[in-house]
Amino acid sequence: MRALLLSGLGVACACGGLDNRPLVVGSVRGVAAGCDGDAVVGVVGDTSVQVRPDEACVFRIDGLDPGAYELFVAPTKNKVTLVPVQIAATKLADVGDVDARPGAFVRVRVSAPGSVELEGEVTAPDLPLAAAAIGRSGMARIGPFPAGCFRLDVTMKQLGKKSATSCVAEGDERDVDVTY
Amino acid sequence: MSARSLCSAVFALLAAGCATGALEKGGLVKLKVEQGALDDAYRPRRFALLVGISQTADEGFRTLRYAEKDASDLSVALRDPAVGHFDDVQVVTSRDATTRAGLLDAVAQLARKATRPDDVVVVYVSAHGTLARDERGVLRRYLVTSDAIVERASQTALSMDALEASFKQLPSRRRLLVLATCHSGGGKSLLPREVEAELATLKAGFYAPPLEEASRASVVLSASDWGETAREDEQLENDIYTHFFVEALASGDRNGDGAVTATEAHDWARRRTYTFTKGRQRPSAEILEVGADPIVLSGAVRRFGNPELFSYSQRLDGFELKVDGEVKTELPGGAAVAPGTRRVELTKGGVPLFDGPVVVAEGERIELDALLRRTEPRRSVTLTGGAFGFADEASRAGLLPAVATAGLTFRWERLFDAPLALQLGLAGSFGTHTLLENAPFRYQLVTGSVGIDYLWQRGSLQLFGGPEVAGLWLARSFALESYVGAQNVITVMPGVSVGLAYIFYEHFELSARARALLGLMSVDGESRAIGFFSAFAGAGYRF
Repeated sequence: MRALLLSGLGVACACGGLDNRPLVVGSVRGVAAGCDGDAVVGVVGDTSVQVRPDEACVFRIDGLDPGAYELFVAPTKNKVTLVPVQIAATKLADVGDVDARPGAFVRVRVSAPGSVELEGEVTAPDLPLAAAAIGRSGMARIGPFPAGCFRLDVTMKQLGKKSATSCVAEGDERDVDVTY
Repeated sequence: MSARSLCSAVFALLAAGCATGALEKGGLVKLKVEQGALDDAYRPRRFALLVGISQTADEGFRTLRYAEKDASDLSVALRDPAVGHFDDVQVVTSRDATTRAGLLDAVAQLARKATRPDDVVVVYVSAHGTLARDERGVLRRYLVTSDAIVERASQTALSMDALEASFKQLPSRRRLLVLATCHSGGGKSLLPREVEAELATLKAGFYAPPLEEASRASVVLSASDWGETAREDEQLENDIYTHFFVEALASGDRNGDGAVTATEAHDWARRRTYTFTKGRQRPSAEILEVGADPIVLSGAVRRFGNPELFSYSQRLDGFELKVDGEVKTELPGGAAVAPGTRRVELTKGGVPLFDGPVVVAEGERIELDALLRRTEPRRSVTLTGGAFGFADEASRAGLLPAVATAGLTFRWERLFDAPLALQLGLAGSFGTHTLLENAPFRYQLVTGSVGIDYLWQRGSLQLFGGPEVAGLWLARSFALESYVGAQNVITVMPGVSVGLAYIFYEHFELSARARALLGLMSVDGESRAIGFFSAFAGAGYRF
């Protein structure tokens, strides 16, 4: 019935539209101090939300549902920090200048029985970090991590997926062994 | 017919078709019919049902002396080949036949006989009338049939509404109902005591709907106006109106075309009844006609008649019709005039309502009300103020609250001389509002509409309504911390509207209109059918 009604009205022109979605979400902005071309900013827990700061190191993330977030701000490939922020509908939260600290890195070592060819990647599913490739050596390095504990997912083509948790401090270089 | 016999009949028919098909494939069968017989078969027939009710079972109703004679006298004139030349005249006066059921049965029998649209049908009733409250407490008119009881009139007498309803069921388009009766409480009317007491306390008159109604298909004539008394007269030995109505059948050919029509007969009887009763009885009728009056009561149209000017419109009651400076008649009524360009004046108390030249041709009948309407302003432009909004609460809360509008409407009435009006409207609004508690925005809104109204006018009041199509442009612009942008939507919406206008000083009007519309609109990326309402009022100029 509804389809019939819509098709009946379809003879009438209807152009454009009204969109209320921008009215129920908020935004956050800030400056990733000392950023370079590798800078990335995202939201902890949702890797689909990540932006790159502009040339002035200013970043802005739109379309965030109201609530509490932790911003992952990595102005360079070696520095990182987490910034708590509260998002309200229609509001722009300004976190100001964000000074990052030296980040921690995790070296992942994969060992497997027999002559299995090692090929895969390691990711941090809660952080907007680029995946690190695991080559024949079975090793990869991923970071920068802010201080804290994070989950790592290791996915090997022939061996499948394994998860591990790594807790790091500022500037750490930590090894994580993953054995299949 | 059973399925088997139907199959047999079809088979026989097919077999017959095959048998003849050997010689001649199909074709029409020629029949020899004399032209005269053919003309006679298709000649409009003329039927009359004449009812006279002198006595009733309830002695509370006074006996009418001439009711049966009224019916009988009229039957003589209608049967006379030189006058009415009716084919079938039925006179019903016996007590058994004039009961409530008997009368309805007589009309039903008439309907079975007069089956063609061009058959002429006359139903005449001379009887008491009365008023009584029906089972819902509504005051209604009743015809006092022979089995009626005065104190239980609503259960025992024949409701005029029922009589009119059965009259309107007649297939004929040329039907005439003549009611030589009244309901005012005197003369040929008798009321139950409580109704009589109630009417006596009504200083402002009685506001029942008028008895006289007509359409293109039917004409209803009444021997007395509402609240007046229809009278019998010893000297005339008839109901007064009926006496002159019968007289009109022989003498009432006003326009000289050889025929006496229903309106000619009524005008003749009406004027003479009014004079005879020294203004105490004023027969009335309300007649809508298109073209010539089709109900010929006597004679036959042999030539073009003189042009006639007439009106039975209530709004022209009491106006004087002057043609070329000469007083012709007082309305309601009509007058025949010589063909050509005539100066026509309509005045009341010396104040002219119309004064101008009118070209009239032989055989033409001009309804004065329509003539007036042609000269009256038919277009209006109105400045309006009102409101526009979404019909549903969710859309008002989430898209745009109801907003005030200002606009302009144009109405062109009586298109093609029909009760139709073209209406065009343009309205707009702009301002700021807040959605969802914290989303202020600016909006601009423009609607344009076009529609056709059916127009009903009574005096200075017009009611109108009909379908329309409206276009909507709505823009919202936001300057929020998190969102800066503009959104536009354009949609076309079918709908309906109703309104009214009050006309004053001829060229001015106050009007109001409400409309409901349904449109398709994209909201949050989804197409939705959304209802809209709009209401506005304004003051306008007519030209």
